[in-house]
Amino acid sequence: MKECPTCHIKVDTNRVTCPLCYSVLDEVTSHEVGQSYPKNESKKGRNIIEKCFILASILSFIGSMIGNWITYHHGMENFWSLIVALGILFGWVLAKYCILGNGILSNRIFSQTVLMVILLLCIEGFALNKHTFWWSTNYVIPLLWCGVLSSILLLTFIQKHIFVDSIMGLLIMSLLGFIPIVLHLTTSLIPLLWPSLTCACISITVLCTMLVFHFPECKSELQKRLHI
Amino acid sequence: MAKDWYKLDNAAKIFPVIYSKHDTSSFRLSCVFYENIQFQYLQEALKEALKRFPTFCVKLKRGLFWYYFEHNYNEPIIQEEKSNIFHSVRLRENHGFMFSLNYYGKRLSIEIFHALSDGTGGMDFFKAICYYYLILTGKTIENHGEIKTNAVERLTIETEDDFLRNYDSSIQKYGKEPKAYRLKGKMYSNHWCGLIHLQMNVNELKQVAHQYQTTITQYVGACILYSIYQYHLPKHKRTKSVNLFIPVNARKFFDSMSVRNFVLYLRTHCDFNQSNLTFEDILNMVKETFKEELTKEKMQARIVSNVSLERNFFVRILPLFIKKICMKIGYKTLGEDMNTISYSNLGIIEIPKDMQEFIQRFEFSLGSCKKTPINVASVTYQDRFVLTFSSKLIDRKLIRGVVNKMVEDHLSIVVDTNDLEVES
Repeated sequence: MKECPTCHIKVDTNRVTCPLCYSVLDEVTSHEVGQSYPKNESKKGRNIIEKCFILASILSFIGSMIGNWITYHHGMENFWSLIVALGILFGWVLAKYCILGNGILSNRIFSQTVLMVILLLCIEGFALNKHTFWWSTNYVIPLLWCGVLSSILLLTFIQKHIFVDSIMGLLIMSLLGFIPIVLHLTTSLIPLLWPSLTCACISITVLCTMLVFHFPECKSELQKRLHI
Repeated sequence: MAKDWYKLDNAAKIFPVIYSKHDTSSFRLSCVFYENIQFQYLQEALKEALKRFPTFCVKLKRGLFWYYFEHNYNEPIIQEEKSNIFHSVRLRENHGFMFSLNYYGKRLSIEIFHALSDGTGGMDFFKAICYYYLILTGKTIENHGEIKTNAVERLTIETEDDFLRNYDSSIQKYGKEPKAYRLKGKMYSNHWCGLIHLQMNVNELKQVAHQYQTTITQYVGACILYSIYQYHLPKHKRTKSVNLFIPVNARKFFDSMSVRNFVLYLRTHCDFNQSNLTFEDILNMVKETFKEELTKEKMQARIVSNVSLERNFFVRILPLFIKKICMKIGYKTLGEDMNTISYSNLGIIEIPKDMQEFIQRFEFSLGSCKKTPINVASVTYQDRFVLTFSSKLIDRKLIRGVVNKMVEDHLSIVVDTNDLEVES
């Protein structure tokens, strides 16, 4: 135990100076003091690999922007650098949120899927707008949606709490699964029928499975989410 | 069987909205044992305590109109304590649990997000963890109801929102309060929070308080205000009111057994715009406030002010994202700006006699934020009173002021800190 000659207090740490007035402490007893708090660690920054990836991402983006600008008036009159930018963003979200993140698994998959859809639409809409046939809206998005919906549904049968966490996500995803068929019926954006129809069928299956096997959980989830 | 989900109680509703790195809205309870912690028993001890306190075994979820708590099926992570105090509660980490149990040497600590419970409810939960930990290490403890264990029935009223239960619309709301002077100074980097514990003998402290014909809470409150007046408040700012925020355990006023939030408060509004104020003058201001404010009627008026807004139909049907914006603005103007500093006295900790031989002391501290960079909390266990300052400010004038006054009153004080200055 030490004593501060200025503040007239005893100090029960290994400090040499008083924590209040910073005067040098007098040793009073040889009572041993254990360190009662862990030492201050300097804040850990990003590791070297992450820094390299950040640098590579920035350089790729700047490089593609410059390339896009140079080639724009030489036969490539589109914004292809957007594909690079969105690809980089997608990669970062995939790594940081979906793979390394610790949120609810189904939410991570849902958000990654939504980002993937945005990426595909941007690739077609902004960059490759000269194409007449939209391969992503006709094939990739409806089939991707089917895959995600069925895999989450399968996961929910393994553990009940995964289902409880995924109810709202599944419900929203199932309802969004009808968009391709609606677009097929009302617009000329999606001329191909079978992928959109498959997506709608899977959505109906998911909704029916939820209601048949998990009606009480769905009801309780809606009560929780909508309580006022 | 425990409920699957809970609505947030009235006091809890604000905390998820204002939670940030700067303001983790948490408090910390620590128990210093005589022996080093054997961490292999902690997980099991926590599991047992969570069975008895299901309102702590939850995660925060977003609804369309309000947040709510849902039962958490995961296991909480128990870690060795890190140096940065008040930053272990991360709403998206620790498997969604809103508390964090840590150990270091002989100290077992829990940081609890205020939305879960107040100090009293948190201490009930923490005492149960300590009890189960000691049982698992092979100690024999006879519990006579001091600890809420699984052998003591869990009552439905423990998980109720007692703000709503004691709401009476016929009572008039509490009136407006003046904005407060704010403590300013250079802050620690990396959201560091300095902890300074002042340990003293409770009987000596009681004696001093009795000499001033006051209670311990009033005496300590007056010491804090006197120190602000002497060392912190510049002369040109003395026109601003210095508001000491004191949480009040509402269970004492309203028949309640809640382990959730049921805490009200009083504020001393001190007008320091006078020269040569003495400690006695300030103590009289504090005493006067307690006399006026610490009544069931005033407490009920506080409940009405808080609950009436929540019960308003138009507020209820606002989507959560709009509510969040409104609540943030409301908190900044009506909540945070009203306080200069907080002082919370948790009172006496009662544990079974058999447990006392294994526990040296308890500590209680409040998280601080940018607007109230220093907060004070205290707890009494056996004959030891531990007063803890949690400070984001590097400057320790205010604490020195309190210590000087207490030493002048012949109190012998032992100081312990988390020692940042030595390292930096």
